[in-house]
Amino acid sequence: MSTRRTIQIDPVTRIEGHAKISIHLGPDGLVETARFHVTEYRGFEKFCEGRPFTEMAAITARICGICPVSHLLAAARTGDKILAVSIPPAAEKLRRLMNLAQIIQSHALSFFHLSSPDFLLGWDSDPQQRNIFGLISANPELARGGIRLRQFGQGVIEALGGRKIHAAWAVPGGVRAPLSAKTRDQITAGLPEAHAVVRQGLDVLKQLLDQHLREELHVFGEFPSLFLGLVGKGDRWEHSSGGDCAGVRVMDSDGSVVADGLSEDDYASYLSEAVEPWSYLKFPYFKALGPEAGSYRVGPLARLNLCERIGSEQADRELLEYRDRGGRVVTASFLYHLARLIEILACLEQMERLLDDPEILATHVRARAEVNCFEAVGISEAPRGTLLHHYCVDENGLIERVNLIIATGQNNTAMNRTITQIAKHDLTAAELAQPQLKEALLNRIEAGIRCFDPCLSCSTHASGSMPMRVQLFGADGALLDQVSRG
Amino acid sequence: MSQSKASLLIGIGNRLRGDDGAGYRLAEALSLDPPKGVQVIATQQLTMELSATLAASQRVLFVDATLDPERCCRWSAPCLEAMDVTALQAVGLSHQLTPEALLAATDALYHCAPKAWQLLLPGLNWGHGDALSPLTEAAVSASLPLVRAWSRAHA
Repeated sequence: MSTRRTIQIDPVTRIEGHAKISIHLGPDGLVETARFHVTEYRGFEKFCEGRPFTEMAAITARICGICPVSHLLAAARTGDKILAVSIPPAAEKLRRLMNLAQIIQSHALSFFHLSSPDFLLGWDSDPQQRNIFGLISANPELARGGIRLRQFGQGVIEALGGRKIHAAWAVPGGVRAPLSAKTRDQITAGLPEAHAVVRQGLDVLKQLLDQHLREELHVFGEFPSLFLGLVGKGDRWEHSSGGDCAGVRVMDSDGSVVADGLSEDDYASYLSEAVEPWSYLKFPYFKALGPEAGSYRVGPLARLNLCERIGSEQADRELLEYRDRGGRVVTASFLYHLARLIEILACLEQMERLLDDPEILATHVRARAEVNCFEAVGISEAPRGTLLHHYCVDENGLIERVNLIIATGQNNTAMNRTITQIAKHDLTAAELAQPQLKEALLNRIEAGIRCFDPCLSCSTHASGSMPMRVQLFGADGALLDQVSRG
Repeated sequence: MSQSKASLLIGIGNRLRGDDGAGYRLAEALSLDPPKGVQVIATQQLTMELSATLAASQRVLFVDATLDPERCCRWSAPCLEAMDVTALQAVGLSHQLTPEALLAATDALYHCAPKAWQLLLPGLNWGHGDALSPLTEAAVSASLPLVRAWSRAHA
């Protein structure tokens, strides 16, 4: 008689989207593999067909309420290329400013609202308290700061685009409105408090990593892989494809550059997507090395690995310390959390520099043209990683075909490897012999997913509510145990 | 980045989901000629970031649509309901916050919470579309003078 079993965590909580985890036990009764199932689907690529390309920024921004700016900017960038225009320098700087604000607010949400309750309250704390409300009780200053930091990022987005969410501000050819001196000064006034909050977050997390979160570095997704993302000229950290961007870089875990200066226009020649029947989320990989060796990670961890320096004083100091902790190429997925805080610092410093540039107040912010190109690819670094929009249009600018490659999807293989690693480590024979699995253990497996801060609404372009379930299956496929939340 | 005022009105709703947008629309309408001393916010949903604004306000009025059949069937005129802020308790995290949870979070974060009222507008149709049903539209119109009276009373 077979003894294979499967555990399911369904729904996965504190992520953007709807998913479940199944843990499969082998004939020896131990964990064989774990799978992250994304169970939602929407089909934006299909229903965009027939729409004018000028609407794509506004339509694709609706994919997500957390990171609409990423789609807005990628769509606008693709639109620039359909018009075949160079956008005005002020527009380039304003788009960068909005992307920095987007990264700040999204990373603040991930760290302060969604993940820090695990670190500060403990894996085995009451699940009803293990959230932002619990954090407020345990460390109100940190909670208040995290909320204020996100509010700052959203405030910048609103100041630029008129709305916090779904601001239809970036358009093909530039942006709709220039920045006033008054708004610039308002944004500048918020920077000191934002700096103080991220410093506080860094101090708290680094202290935890030195103490009771040391084990997590080796258990939560510590493995070699490729890393992919944009880099800037001079090997600097980059988040946008305009200006000083030097294209896409692919690096391996030894720090060797596998490919460099890749153009988004050629993405189909170097990226491919695998599918599995148990998830709506695809598995992109670096084509030249195949689905397994070519699997890669994107996002904060990758961006910090790919660059030599960030290019701003405080963030570069943190980067050096981060590399002392994790190595020149950081392979521990748990350090995504630290990478996020360093990126917030980098964003604040770059924001300061942009706001000091008088050109950002220039009023010429949009180039106008007709359709000059029938196919274009735009790229941007979303908070969660590299985002590609690919449109084909007819002579009237109506969309004939769309392909969206989303950051979260590119981390899909890594997320599956991460939860398998945690499950193998934590679900020992003794734990599995218990009549009921400890909730804290399942929470740790979920937290493996949260390292990547996945946005499933984006990655499946699907409407999301966000509950999650973990299920345990036997070798015969029978459901043996499950924990549901949300 | 806006300056807080003594009174706060938060209109909640999704303008693209029929009557769900009633609160949002009321806030938009009020913004065209905002009452003195009242900060008006139209938002798709309540978020934790609003807690700082609440903490800086002395009173808040939440305006939202309701599907509650009891309220919708017997609805005849708008009515403000005072909320019991002394009995606030935090609730679990989800994608959206209730006014009670937001008030509780404000109290926990800033050790103060404004006096609170809510105005619930009847909603019949939550489907896709940006139009309000006649009953909801009438309720929004009828509520504007009441909201202005609330503003004056607390000016």
